[in-house]
Amino acid sequence: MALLEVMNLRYGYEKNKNILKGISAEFEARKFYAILGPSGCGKSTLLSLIGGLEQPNAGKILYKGKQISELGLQNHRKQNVAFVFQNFNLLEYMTAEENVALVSELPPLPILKKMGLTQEEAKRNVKKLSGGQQQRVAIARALASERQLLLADEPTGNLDEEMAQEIIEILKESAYVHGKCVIVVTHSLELAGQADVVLTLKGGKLL
Amino acid sequence: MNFFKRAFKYCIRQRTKNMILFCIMSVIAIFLILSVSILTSSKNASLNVKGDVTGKLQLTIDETGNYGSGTGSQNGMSYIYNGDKITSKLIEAISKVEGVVDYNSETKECYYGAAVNFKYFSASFGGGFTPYGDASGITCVLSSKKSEKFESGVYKLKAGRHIQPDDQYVALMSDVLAEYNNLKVGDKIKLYLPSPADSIVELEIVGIYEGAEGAQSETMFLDDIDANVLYSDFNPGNDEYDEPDEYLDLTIYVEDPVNIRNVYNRIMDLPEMQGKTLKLEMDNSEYEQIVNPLTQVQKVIKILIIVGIIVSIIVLTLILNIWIRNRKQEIAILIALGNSKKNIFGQFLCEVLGVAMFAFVAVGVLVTALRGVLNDIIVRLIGDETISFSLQISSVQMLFMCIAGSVILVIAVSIVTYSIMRHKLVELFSKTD
Repeated sequence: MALLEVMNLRYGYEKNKNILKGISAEFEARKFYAILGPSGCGKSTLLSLIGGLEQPNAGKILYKGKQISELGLQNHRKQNVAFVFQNFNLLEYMTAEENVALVSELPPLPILKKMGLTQEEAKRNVKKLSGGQQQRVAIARALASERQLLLADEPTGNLDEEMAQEIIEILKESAYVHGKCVIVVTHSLELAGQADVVLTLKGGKLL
Repeated sequence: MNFFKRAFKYCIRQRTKNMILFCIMSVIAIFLILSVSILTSSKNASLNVKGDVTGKLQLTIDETGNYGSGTGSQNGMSYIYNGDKITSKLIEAISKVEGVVDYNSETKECYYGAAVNFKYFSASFGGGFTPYGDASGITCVLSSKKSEKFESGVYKLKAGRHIQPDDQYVALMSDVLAEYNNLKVGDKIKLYLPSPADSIVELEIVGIYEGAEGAQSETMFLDDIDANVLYSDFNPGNDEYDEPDEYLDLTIYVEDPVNIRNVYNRIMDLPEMQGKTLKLEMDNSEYEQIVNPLTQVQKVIKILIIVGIIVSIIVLTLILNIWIRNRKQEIAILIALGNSKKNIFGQFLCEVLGVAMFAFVAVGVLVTALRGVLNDIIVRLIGDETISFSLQISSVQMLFMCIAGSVILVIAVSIVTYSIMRHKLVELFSKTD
């Protein structure tokens, strides 16, 4: 059974003006998905709907066979979804450890070390970390939450090539080793090329 | 990590903003505690004045339409009041009314008496109006303590006691006249009452008063010299001139000037008042003259408190709006991590209330320490020694400051977070990327 299923999703910010015009897809655990498309095609919007940040105008989103609207979007986000963003989106007044502690009661240091941060860097305020380090903290936070769905919106957008590739490897490891369903939104063909499944979005529909 | 911990970390790491919030909350707290303290203290001052100042009711004959048809003479027509007068029976009934503490009727030159066994200070018009020389006007009172010159403080009792309503054949003499005649409290004086009485009455000196001026040059009549004026009860004049025991006016003193209306109604309901041609009027002017400024201050302060609270909410809302809008990214992140809007609202509330508590404590300590100085400033501003104002800063006022200040913050934070969180999450999110 698919971990996540979207059925005939429609969504638009304005009435009678849908960005998504009937999206249907299935997503499984232990797989790395890429959603590819030009800017403004609705990739991030689709990710937001999957992540329970918004209700679709029409269609269904099923997680383990149950509609997420029945569970409640806030509960769906809390129990099932971990986000990674292009801008890292860490709380700037907290340290790396404290950002990870936002989602997990477990000690954050082991997972930060796994992400390649030292103990000293883990105790540093996130503003004093490099872009790559911050993205690692974001991924550590996502992994620490133990939620099965990992959604990443342009996770390598602000990173150089070398750092970007490191992040992609970590995301792939999340899928293959940690058993997560990793869905990455990107406009990078190179990143998309490393995914198990590539979904191309154009004109509000999947090609 | 729960919202308390997040709030704590934010507070200790965003010192500048929290210092600004601390200062703003301190100003609001000072305003709240001082305004409610002054309000409470001025109410207490009003109550103290109420205890020191009595209200008055004036009972008088109603002259309107109560004169007879008139009697003609070579000098023209003369009219005599033919309505009801104030009787002793009515006075006795009034004295028993709840709230009445005293009463007095005063008639200057009630009757005339020439000195028989003592001497008045002489005036220009001396001579033989009576076998005992000139007669001076006697002021009759029911209660000398409440007579005009004693009430106003011109005269003060120096020895003995005041004349009371149930006294008979007693007198109050000025100290200079008593000294002139070597008289003291307890001595008896004799007065000759001219025709038609043509009799001598004996009065006991029960009190000696000071404040009256003695002999002066170029004074025409005996009773133009203040010290010559004796106070006595009504009985000598009424008995010797066969006058009924009735009065034209009565001043009634009420214990609680605030409830003077109730006493007025009770007197008007007396059976002895029904159908009488008498009128009763309230005279609270002395009390109101003192208390009105305090009452006005209380009204102004109440308005200030309401306006101050509204302005505080507006100011805090504007400031917090700027600060919390700058945290949209944080809100979006926390929502994305699975926190509810209530949870995030709780964090913001904890942050501001945490800072506010420090402000309340600091202000409480400061205002308590400076209570004396603040009291002196306010007393100087009032400038009226009859009002005993004392600034009270108690736990009740502190509690009001904390509760009102907290409510202001809750309202301000609620308005701001609602205005931000009502946006669609997708919109909120897209604005942060």
